Amino acid sequence: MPIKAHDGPKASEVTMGGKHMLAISDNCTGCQLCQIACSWVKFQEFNPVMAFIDIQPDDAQEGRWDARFTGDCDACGYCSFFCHYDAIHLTRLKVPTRR
Amino acid sequence: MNGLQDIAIVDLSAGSVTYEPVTPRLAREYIGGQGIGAYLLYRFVKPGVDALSPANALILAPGSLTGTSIPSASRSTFMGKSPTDGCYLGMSNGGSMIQLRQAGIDLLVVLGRAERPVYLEVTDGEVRIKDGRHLWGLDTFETAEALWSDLGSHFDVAAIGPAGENLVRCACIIGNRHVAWGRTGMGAVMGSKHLKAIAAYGTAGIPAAQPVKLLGLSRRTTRSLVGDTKSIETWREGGTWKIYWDFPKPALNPDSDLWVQETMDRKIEHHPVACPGCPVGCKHALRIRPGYKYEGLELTIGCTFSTMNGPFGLGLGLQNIEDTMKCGEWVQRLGMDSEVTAGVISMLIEMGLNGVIDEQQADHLDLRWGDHELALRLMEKIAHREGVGDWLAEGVAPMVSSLGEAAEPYRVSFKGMGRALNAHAGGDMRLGVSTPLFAWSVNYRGHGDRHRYPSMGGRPDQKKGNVETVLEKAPHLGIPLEEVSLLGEADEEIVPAAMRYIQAYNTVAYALGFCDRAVVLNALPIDRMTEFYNESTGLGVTSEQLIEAGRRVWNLEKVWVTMQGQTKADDYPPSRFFDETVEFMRPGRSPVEYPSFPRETYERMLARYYRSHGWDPDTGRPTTELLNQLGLGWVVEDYLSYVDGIAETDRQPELACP
Repeated sequence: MPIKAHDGPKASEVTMGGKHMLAISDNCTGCQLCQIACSWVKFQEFNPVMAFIDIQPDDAQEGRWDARFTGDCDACGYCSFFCHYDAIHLTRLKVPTRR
Repeated sequence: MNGLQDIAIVDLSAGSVTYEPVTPRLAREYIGGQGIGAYLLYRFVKPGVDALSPANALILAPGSLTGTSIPSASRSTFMGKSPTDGCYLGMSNGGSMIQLRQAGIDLLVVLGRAERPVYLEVTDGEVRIKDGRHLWGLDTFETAEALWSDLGSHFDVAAIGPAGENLVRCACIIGNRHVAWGRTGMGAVMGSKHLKAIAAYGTAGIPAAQPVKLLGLSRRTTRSLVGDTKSIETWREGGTWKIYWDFPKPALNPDSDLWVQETMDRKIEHHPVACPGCPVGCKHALRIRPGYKYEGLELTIGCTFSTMNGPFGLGLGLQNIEDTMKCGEWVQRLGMDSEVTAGVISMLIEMGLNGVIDEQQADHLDLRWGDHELALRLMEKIAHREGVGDWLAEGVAPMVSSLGEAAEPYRVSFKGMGRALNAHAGGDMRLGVSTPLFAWSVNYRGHGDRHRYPSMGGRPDQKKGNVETVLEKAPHLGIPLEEVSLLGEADEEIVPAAMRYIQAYNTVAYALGFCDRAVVLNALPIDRMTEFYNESTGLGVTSEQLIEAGRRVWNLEKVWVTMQGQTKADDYPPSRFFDETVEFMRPGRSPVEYPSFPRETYERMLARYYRSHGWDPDTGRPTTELLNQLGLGWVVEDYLSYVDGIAETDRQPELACP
């Protein structure tokens, strides 16, 4: 049984398609709403295991979490709409426009 | 595809596991979670069985929306016949065991008794009974860590500690090292089955009939929920510690640093923790800062008040937060309910100080208020049933019956569950008449019951106008407007009359898995819950049908507790509430003395409550007409044969010695 669908390198920042995503683990409370939202957008099911953001307990400190984006994250930003703890930030980058 | 999954039925005596689906009919009539759990309880636990025998069942029932995107729908309930009061149910809690639903199992029923210690591993639609001998003897934290080490930290773990193993009647079940299914002694039921733990993990995902709509509605509801920024901030900053700050408290330790607002920030590093899917974040990870007693002690708890400050700070009169946190950690590790444990210890201390018991009966312990070392020693003795601990482990009723009349004035219990008199004013009707205070006496499981939202009535200094509250909340609760005017005007009329609607609404909320915090339920009128339920299951029920189902579940539970021996006499608060005045304090204000509660008023309220439900006002039992009307005709024959077969004198009132 797979423990996680997306084992592999993870990062706290992703920049893609004119958007920048930042995960701030210090603010995370482990509610997993971001994962539930992500798994729906990407796979049409409520399944945190499939999410492109990984929330793991922080072994160093009880009650804290480590939030990171998996390598598949395309910075769509949907998860940030469901985070109410200020732990996921979405920034739309200024894209130079042609005159 | 809808959100209905399987019921797994584990027979530990036979070593077998069978599965049956949650049918649409079952879901329509009993909703899910605690509702279908009540149906299963009626089916599997017959009248008169010993709660600690293999004939009892232990049912784990996550709410039917638990594990989806719906905000704050993360509760699950352990149910069974309680060894504490001989009657009903367990308690629900948030944040643990949502993985059961992720693993494709909606409800788990455990029957029989294993020959040797076992644990259950639930993964993707399959339940396996595994050897748990290496876990027996470990405390609840160690058990979770051992299973995480064996299976992986992604598993949800619900475990018992030494108290559950030793069949201590207030033993609870601890989930993921921090949430408790407390009260009612479900840990002892689990221990009696030689079941040390349940570990669950799923990768299948939870289906929904209309996921696009569900996600959109979840987002809108979450926004409105977090829009109550003041409440959200208070919950995240200190949880129940700060919520109960202004609540009246008995004046046992007015000088304690627990009542100094800055204490928490100065002595304790704290960080909010959320149940899965919840935007409130009312739980807390605590760590005592360097330089203070027990420095570095870590504890993650759902309710700072009920685990630490209430039972130990107020109830036993401890003077500082470090000591109460140590007691909170210890009671969680041993796997005992904090409120009930502090209740029996409090009763022992009060009886010792008043000469009701002698030194030998108290194991020559120096019984006094404010001594946390004494509390820790007594907790150890209770969990391992040593000396006086063996006596306390049996609960309040045996303590009273073994000492006779002299002990009766010191009893504080609801449905047989002890509680420290000083723990706080919750449930103490001397403060006034309100829905939370009345709910503790008339529900099926005793104090800590949560079928009480919204709060109405209260202290004389807090009048808000109950008629207006009912009018405002009627659509929210699903009360037909034409019935509002029939509820009355005085608190003594409105509170008991409105309880029927409050209980039906809260039963629906619980069956769906919603948290009982007011900040959550404020965002969830019955129409919104119905939308969520339909988008998840595709059943297309109306709000009226859902409320009717809530009422059906409440009445099925009433039939079951009646057949297990609960009577009208169990619907009374402790007798000392009728006999004594009490002095309450609030930080920074002068203490106020409240008079005893008039017994005649309570009798009138109880009769009004029974009439509101359509129950017999003299016996408090549902009538057969009502049961037929609610679609419970299938229980009538058994119910009548039981009711006809018992004499009123079979069971003594709770206020007298059983």
